[in-house]
Amino acid sequence: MSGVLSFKDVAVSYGSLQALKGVTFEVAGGAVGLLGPNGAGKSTLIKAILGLVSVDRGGISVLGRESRVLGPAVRDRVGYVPEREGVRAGLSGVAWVAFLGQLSGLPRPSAIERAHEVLQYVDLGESRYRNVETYSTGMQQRLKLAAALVHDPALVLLDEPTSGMDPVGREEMLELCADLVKQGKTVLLSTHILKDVEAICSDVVILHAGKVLASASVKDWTKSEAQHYLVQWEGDAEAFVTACRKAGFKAEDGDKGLFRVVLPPGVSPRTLFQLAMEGGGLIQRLVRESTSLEVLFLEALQKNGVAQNAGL
Amino acid sequence: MPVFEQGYQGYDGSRRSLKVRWWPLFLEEVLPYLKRRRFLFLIILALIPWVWGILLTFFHTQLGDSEGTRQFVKQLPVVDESLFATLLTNGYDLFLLTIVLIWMGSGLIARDRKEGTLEVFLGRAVTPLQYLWAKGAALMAFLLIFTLAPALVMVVFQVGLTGDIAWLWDHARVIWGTLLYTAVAPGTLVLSVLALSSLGRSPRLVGLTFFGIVFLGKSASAIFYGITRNTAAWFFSITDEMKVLAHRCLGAELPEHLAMSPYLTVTFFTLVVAGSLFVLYWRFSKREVLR
Repeated sequence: MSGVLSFKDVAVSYGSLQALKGVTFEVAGGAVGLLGPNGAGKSTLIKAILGLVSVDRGGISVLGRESRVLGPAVRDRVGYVPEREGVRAGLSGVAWVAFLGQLSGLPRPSAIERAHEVLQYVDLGESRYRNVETYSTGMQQRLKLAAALVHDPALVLLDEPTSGMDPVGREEMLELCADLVKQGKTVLLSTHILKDVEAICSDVVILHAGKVLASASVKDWTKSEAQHYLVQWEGDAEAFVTACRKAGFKAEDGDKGLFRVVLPPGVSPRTLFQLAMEGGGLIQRLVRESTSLEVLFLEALQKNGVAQNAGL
Repeated sequence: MPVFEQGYQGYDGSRRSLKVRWWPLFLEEVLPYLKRRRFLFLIILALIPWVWGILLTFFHTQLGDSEGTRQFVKQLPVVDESLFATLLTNGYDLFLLTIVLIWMGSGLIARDRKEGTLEVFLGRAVTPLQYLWAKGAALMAFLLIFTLAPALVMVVFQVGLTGDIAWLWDHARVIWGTLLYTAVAPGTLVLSVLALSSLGRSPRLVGLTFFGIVFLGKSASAIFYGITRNTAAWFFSITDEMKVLAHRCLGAELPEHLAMSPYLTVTFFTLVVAGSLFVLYWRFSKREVLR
């Protein structure tokens, strides 16, 4: 196993409930979205990386170290933003972040200095001396991100970081995540919000019921978005399909003169009208098919025999 | 460039060894209590019997030879192993010790579970063992302020006031007996409170449970003893087991109603320690404590 993070046949169970069932994937770097409905096993997967759940079988490799239970030396290079709570009431923001810095081995003066830096970075500079229980949900999420960054980790694990945030706060959080990737960090973003993944992730791992349904580059997936068309054709259906295939397009015959045509990258849809003219037919309707990550995600679920209402 | 425009900054400074990562956790538990006036007042209250002990030392060493005070001093308890055993386990101090255990100990793990900070700590370079060590050491430090520290201060006074170091040899059991007692009894209490705290999310509930175990155990033992007059009845009373242990460690004579077999005391402490260790192992090795 290589890369920043890789899972090989990892299984985790809580009593009789199997939360992860032989999960295998690899992350080379950048921002990776861990996508799945509630209960898919996303949080368990993140906890497995940190050794917060006991792994039944398989191996996890983090930053070049492979083990079933990763030791403190590896965890020292990982930052974790938990989904719920995870802040100490009664402490100011800067005191909490500095304390976690010390826990990660920074000498006290450095931890305090570093806490101020990361709180400025997440835009909590003005509120750093306030007690954490007075923070709004969005501020607490940013505080948790600051705490995860205080020791300058190479890998940042974010468990639903935009959960409960307003649109502006969500946007800001995603911008911070994108910036971290620019700084050379690897970010694993666990979420059930597809737009978050689309916004910042270069790769996506789709998880459902403890299994990886698909693992691919977001670019590759969304690249096909521009090439899917639905064509309402009036004329000889067979001739249209043959003409499309001759031109190198993928064409599938649908019902009632409806065709799904996939154009290669860079080919203009005008080509279809040329084909129609040459074939003596008529394109009554040409619709660019929505193949966003959401559609592809649902397709992945369908391919694996999972119902569409998967909880997203 | 102003700090707020600098963006993300890396850290390439020094880091402490992985072995000492428990130290901030220890300080995080201890320092807030040292700032609480009520807690400090409780410690001062707990030291009152020891002040009496030091006064006894003073009377015996400074006033014992004087004609006018000889009779008075003769009536006072002698500074020996028996006095140390009594001071270590007087009912007043045991009650305050229980209050401190509940006040400080009940939230040690339960509060981290409640606030979700336990997974933040264990997700960092802190092992479960280091975490437990930090929490246990913090509680133990306060319990030793009630027990070992004043006992040692009293020994220093005794030697200092008499100017006779030979007292140490004559009463060597005071030293090693106190050390043994303060390691076993407070150590057992710390382990049991940690185990209880790892089972709950509510510090209040954990505290109430511990209070219930201590006082219901004592009440049940007292009733059982009242009926049977069998000293083995005190087996279930933690505070009385501590009294027995202190007297045995220091070689002091036990009060008649507590003269139970030493095997029972050994069995009691072994069971509590083993049970607590089992709970902690079960909760932490499989990460059950995080669920």
